[in-house]
Amino acid sequence: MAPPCKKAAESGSRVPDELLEDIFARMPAKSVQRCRCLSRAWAAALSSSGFIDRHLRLANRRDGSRSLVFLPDPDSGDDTTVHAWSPRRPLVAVRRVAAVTRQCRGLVVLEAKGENLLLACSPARGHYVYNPSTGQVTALPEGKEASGAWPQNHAILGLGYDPSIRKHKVVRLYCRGELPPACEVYVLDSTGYWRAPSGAARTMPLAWATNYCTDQSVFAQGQVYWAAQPHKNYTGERVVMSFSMADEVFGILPPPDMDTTNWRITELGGRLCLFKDISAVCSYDIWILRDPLTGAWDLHCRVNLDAASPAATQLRCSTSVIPLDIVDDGNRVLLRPEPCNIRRENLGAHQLVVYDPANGDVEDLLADGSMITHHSMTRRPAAPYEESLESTGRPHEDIIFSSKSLQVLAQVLRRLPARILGRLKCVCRTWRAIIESGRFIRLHYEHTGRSSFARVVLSSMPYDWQFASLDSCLNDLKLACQMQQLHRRVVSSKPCHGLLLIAHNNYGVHVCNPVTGAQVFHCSLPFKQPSDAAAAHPGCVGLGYDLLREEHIIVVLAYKSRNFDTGSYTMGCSIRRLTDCVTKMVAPSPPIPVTVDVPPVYAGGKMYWMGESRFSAGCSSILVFDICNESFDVLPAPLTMGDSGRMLVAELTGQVRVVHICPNTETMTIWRKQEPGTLNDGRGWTREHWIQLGQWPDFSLRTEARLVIPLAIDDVGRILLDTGRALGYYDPRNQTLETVYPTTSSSLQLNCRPGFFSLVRPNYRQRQYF
Amino acid sequence: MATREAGKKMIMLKSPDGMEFEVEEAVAMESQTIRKMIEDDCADTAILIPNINSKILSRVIEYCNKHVPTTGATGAAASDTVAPAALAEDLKIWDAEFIKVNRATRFDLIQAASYLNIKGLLDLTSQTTIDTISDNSLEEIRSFLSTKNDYLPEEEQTIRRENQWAFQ
Repeated sequence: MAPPCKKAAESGSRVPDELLEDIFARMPAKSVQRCRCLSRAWAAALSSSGFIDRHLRLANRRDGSRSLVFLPDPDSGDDTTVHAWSPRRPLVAVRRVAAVTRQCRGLVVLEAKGENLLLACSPARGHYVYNPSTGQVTALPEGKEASGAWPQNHAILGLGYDPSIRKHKVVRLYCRGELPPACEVYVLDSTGYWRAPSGAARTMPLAWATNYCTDQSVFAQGQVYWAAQPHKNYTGERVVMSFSMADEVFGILPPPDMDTTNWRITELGGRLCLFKDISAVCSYDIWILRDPLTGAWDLHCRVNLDAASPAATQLRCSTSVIPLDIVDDGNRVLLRPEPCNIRRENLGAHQLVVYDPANGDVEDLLADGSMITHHSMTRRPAAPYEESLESTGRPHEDIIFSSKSLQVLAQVLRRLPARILGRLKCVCRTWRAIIESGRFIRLHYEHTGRSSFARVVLSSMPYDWQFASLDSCLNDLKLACQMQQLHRRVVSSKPCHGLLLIAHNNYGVHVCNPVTGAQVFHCSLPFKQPSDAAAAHPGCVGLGYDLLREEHIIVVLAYKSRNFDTGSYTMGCSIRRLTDCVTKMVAPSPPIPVTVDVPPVYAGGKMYWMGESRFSAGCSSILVFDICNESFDVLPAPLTMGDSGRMLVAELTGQVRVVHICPNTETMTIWRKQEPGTLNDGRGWTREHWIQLGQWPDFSLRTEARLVIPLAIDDVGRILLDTGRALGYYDPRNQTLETVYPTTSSSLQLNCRPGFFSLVRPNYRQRQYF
Repeated sequence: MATREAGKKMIMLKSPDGMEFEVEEAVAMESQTIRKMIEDDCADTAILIPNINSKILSRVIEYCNKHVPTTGATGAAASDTVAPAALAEDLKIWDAEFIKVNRATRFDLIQAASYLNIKGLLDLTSQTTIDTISDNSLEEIRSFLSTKNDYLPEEEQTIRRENQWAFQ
């Protein structure tokens, strides 16, 4: 490489490049990043792996002035911001997340819990690799599904560094139900997907990593360590579990001989440290692992806070302290009170001290009024980190799609139906990574959502919904028999962006993908649907899609009270995003009363309900809910002749339609939104179809059908009509109706929903297989 | 813009390996990417097509030449003599012949069609690959695309189990 300062040297500067580089290597990572903008040559020199190593060594002299990250208080749900602090710069708010690993060469793994997704910029649920020195954050791909509570289903992450490939590795230990614990590995900036560990044997975790808020994985001497227990449900004796970065093999390390389980692991001076609380007096043992191979521990020192200095008195007040680091060439220990033991009334007692084991002296590092003595920092766990230029790597989807041949492959694969794609995941790891990536799922939906049109019949039994194509149901007697047991009070809407919502009194609200059959329970039904179809419904549930955040959302609209005689009512709307699983009320209440005996209709980022004509406020109006803004709007509905009949909203080809069905004249009228320059009724609607249903008995509003809904329009422009008992294609060109579902056995009730083949998952980050 | 005949604008397309192709504007505008460039007046003298070598570019131009809608003076005469159905049939046979290329060329064509945004060519080239992928077993797909199965045996079993719905 050409010396970056060649020209400068010629023009008189006498500082050699090596010396300058040495100076740069001692600067904080943020400053080095700025210096990368000096010139192309400097950018290259300051980004080389050799310089990153040198910087890591020189910028982190252990002189007691360590940088700390402050993690969110685990008890406080509303503030999940991480702060980074160092003596040279003030406290900066970083990310709304929680850390799950200790730092490794300047990187740390954070977890976003997703409670605070109000801001579009805050990260979604999931795990992130974060560099506190540079502020760089990269999301990790989803691992295998293991959502739930410890110890049943859980996932615990560890972060380490493999010097042989000069890359960080994230190790994910997960557990699903009664299955043995398993493990997967993600190499930063490598393949872009999780893989099985490559170790020949013993690639399964030997114990269950514990998941207390104080337990973080620790990286030291080429191994990642977790505090673990040998039996799943037995919380007694604990061990240390190790995973070697180079061979990817698990091991068990017995803790040094001791009588108590009250210990935790951390990293001190680049070695594994076991910190044991001798609960009797204010003293703690610090054990250091001398040799990972033999498992020999050394007692480094005993911390005794019995000295009489005022700082120590304060420390003694907090019931326990934790070591953060070893400083001053191993002579002194950096201590901090255990944050969850600090009482709320004693928030001022927060301290950061160095302890000298030789004479028991305690020195407080924090000046009065220092930023981290601020009470909001007191109860936060803190962890030291190293100034580092290590990159957190490219986003995993960028890696997967970086090769040209794979981009071409994705272009081809997006045209295939979901079923074939499910099979193709078995071709190789890369193919699976492509097919399961969010980017591909979106690409695939864009394509299939436009072109191919497939009908899906939902035949359901509690907790065992079955989905089949319409043709196969009509030709398969066995399936038809199963459909006879269809539960009457199951309400489902049209699929929205590939997913279908099913609401049931006893079984609650489920969201499922009709093609893959994957389904997830989301919440219980907030109201009781009446068993009689003619009775008044208290509310309705619908599924919408947030185009901005690219996630599904469940919208519930329910009456708290209503009285048609007096015209009074109260109505509330609540929403639940599928990614964060938190139900919340929408602040503005719906401006007009609406009919709730049919599910709302989703079209183009908005939900639609028809106004309740029995209330004067709801007459001839449509309620619109904008999902992105969480705001309501009211549209005027088209005017009809006379009062008889019923208005409905429907969705056809992705756009909202208004349907009027009139039993007196046995007609159905369909309006679409007015396009500029067309004739309309003055209220923004254009009449699109006018169908006389009386000539077909199955669809006659006087005899068989109570409600006729247009479900979809097929490729040649025929409209699929559904009465709940009969299905038929109406052809507007020659005004004929072809009945596709026979109604001879009227006990059979169909619940027919048109669907597209899609790979969209019913709950995003929680489930791996769609 | 170069003009060869009256009323027919010519466009110069350059491949990164230095070859130049002079084509009618109507032919070049089969590509939505180039159409956009022309409409935005970004194409004064020659358009450099990155990532597409001359061999592939010449094939793409061959396709566009064949598929350009036959409108205008000469086009009207052509559609008078040949029935539209026969013309479509003729195009189909031509397409089938056109796509008889090896896998590497086909993938290059997909990539070029995707970059230049030529829907017909993208559909044609993708469909051929789709047919191969849909009709064959996993082992055949792997050998066709010279992809190695890098799953461990248990790993593949697990994935098959998780995607049971796709194998039914």
